[in-house]
Formats: sequence, structure tokens, C-alpha cells
Amino acid sequence: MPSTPGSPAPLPTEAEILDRDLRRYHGTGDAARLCALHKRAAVLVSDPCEARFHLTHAWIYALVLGDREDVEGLERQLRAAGGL
Amino acid sequence: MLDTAELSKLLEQVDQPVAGASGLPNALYATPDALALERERIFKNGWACIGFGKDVPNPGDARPIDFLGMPLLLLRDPDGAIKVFENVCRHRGMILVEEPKNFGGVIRCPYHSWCYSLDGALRATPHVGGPGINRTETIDPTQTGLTEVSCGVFMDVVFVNVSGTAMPFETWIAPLRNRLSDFADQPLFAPTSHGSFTLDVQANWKLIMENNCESYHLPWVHPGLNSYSRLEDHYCFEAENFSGQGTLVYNPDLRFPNFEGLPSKWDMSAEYPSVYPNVFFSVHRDHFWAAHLDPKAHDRTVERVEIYYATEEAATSDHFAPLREKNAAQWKEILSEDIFVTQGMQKGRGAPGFDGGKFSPEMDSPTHAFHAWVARALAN
Repeated sequence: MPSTPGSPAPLPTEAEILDRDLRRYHGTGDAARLCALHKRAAVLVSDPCEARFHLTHAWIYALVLGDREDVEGLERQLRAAGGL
Repeated sequence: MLDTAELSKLLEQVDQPVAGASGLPNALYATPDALALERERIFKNGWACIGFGKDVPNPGDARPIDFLGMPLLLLRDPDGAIKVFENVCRHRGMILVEEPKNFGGVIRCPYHSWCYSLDGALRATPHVGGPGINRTETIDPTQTGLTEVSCGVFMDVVFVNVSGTAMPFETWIAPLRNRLSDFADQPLFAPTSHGSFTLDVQANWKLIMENNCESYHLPWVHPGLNSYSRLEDHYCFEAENFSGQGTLVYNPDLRFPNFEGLPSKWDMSAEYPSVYPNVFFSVHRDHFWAAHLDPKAHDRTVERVEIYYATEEAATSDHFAPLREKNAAQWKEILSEDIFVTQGMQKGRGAPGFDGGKFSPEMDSPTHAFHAWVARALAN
């Protein structure tokens, strides 16, 4: 959202913050952070295909972490969404 | 270029009774082609050393290994067993693991994020059926796991058979296990300090093995060692896949706790079997070490030595730290004394008139046994 000269910059939306964080952590190998960010993104997006995309990434990072409970939960969601 | 017809003829002259045999021909030391041939016929087809169990001490630990250009992954699984896989993704052949690390979950390929369990099973194929579709009819995860490489562990030394065509590991290792039966099932403790060293030797890997096979050179190359372990106090031994030498007067100044339950013969004995193709063992009543020879080129070998002790106290306590330091330094000095001869023999292989050399039946028989083994392996 553009701001007018002299006025404070508008606060970024949650989607913008998420997008910024996903880019920031992309190359860090911080699987826990990336898993959490993609799970949040899957909730925020309205397009089911986009949600499934983010669930897939969250699932992969949960697998990397070896978090069995999280993996099982994400696999249930992916199955329901037709991703598995 | 190796002249394989000429090589075959020369190898026949090697696999003869020691008195009339020739040594391996110059070409097997002096050309890159020779190492390529050995890679196929010796290192891939048979059992060969790639490292140590101590390289992956904890479940989930993985270490990439370049085994003569073959990318392998040494891994300790969640149950504590050692496994070896080809270190490549089954999708596009990308290297999976570049640095040693611990995996709490799956191994993820950094390219398209295909994921593998620590048992090698293909666990996930993200987006493989299109965005967000993580399966596809044409890729069967049960048939697309990591390629497992046959492996075996003896006294923490890890061996692999890449081709999968060699005899079972336990059958292959049985003669050595039998020879070292007093040590084979002893607990081994890796030191927290002064437990290892490496030597970068500008010589063919076989020359280092050959030198370790015999004690003939001791009085000339290791005068310090000869002061308490004289040539006449040594003996030789040979088996199907190893040969070496032993001493009857092992009694150094350094004293660590002994392995438990050893027969009295080890009070003053030590043995040094060279296990074909690329590792030699060194067993003493109070410590053990193994030297892994990693051929980097036809004329360069990295020699890595790992030392183990009989008790945790000897391996880890501050009390024994100065002795461990002295012990490692002593062995490094002895093995370093060998470098000028192995590098000298490497240069000598450039002499067109050198015909592989002659063997003394009395002193060189273990070396000849190794030559004959190499000749047979290359002829097959």
C-alpha cells in the first residue's frame, strides 16, 4: 500500500510479514521456523491450491525436524486436501 | 595408457612362488589408468575400508565419504547400527549430504526436497505430481529408496563392498577375526584427545601397504623402534586376505590399562596385519590402532590413523592425557619415518628398467603375498 508524503508508512499486513519472514529464513535451514511460517501461510491464503503448497512445505520441514506428531497432523491435512 | 595384454603377462609373473616371483609392474604405480582399474576390480568388487565407526558416534550422525570418486554416506541409524548408502538423491542424482551432520528427522535433498528416512526409504516427494500434489503414479517410493551399500564393521573399522558381489562380510573377515580373536570383541574406547592423525603421502597406496607388511626395513628405517624391538624378534604371517608381522618383545615405556582377559602371549607380543586392500591393524595388549589408506591419486595417498584404548579411563581421563599424547606422537613419528621410503619407491617406479623387483623368501613373503593378491584381483 503506497503512503502519501509526510504520513507514516502503513503497517505491513500479516501476509506481507509472512512473506518477508519466509524469504528471510529460506536459506537458513531453520526447519522449525520455516515449518511454523508455512503452517501460518497455509491458514492465511484463501486459494486451496496455495494452502496445499504451504502445507507441503510445512510437512517437509516437520519431516526434517523429526516431529512425528506434527508430521502426522500435516499428512492428515494434506490427505484431506488431495496432496497425498 | 595401460597395455592390458602386457599387464596380464606381467601379473602372471607376480602370482608365482615367492622365490621366483616378480613384483607388481611399474605401470600399476605410475599411471592414473591403473588406479581406475583397481577402483573397479579391487575397491568396488571386494571389501575395502572407508572409515571408522567413531566417525558417526551418535544415532542420526551422517558423514559423506568420497570413496575413489564414489560418493557414499556413512550413517548411524536410530538403533545404533552402521549403514552406508550412495550419497545421491534417486531423483536427479544430486549429492545429498555435503558435510558431517546429525539428522533428527529425514535426509532432505537440497535440490527438490525429496526426503529419505535414515533407513534409506523414500519418505516424501513434494510437488512431484504438480504443485501441492506429493505423489505420482510413476514413482513407487518402495522402489526408490537410497541405494544401500553392503557394509561391515570389525573393531570399529568400516568396510564396504560397493558391487555387492563379494562374499558375505562375516565370511571375509573370519580369518582376521580368528587371528585377532583375543581383541575382536573387546570394547574399544576412542580417545577424547590425541586419538588420531593423518599423513599425506605422495606415493601409491600399495607401496604403503607393502611397507607395512614386512619388518625387514625396521633396523634401517626405524632405528629407535629397533632399539627395543629388534629384527630377530619379529615373525611373519599370511592369510587369504591379509599378511603382516608381529613382534615378541613389545614392551614400551608407556603403560595403559590392558584389554581384559588376554592370554599371556600378549604380555610381550604385538601384531600388525595389513588387511587387503587398504587398512592395516596394530594390536597391542593396551591399545589398538588402524590406518586407513585413502587413495587420492595413483601417486598420492592419505593415511589416517585412529587409536583406541582398552578402558574409558585410558581414553578419556586427564590422568592419561600426557601418555596418550606421547603414544600418538610416537606412532606418528614411526609412520612418518616410512614416508621417505614409500615416496622414494614411488619415484623409483619411473625407472623404465625396473621390473617390479625381487623378493627375499625369508624376509619379503608377506609383501609378496599382497602383490600376488593384487595380481589375482586384477586378473579377474
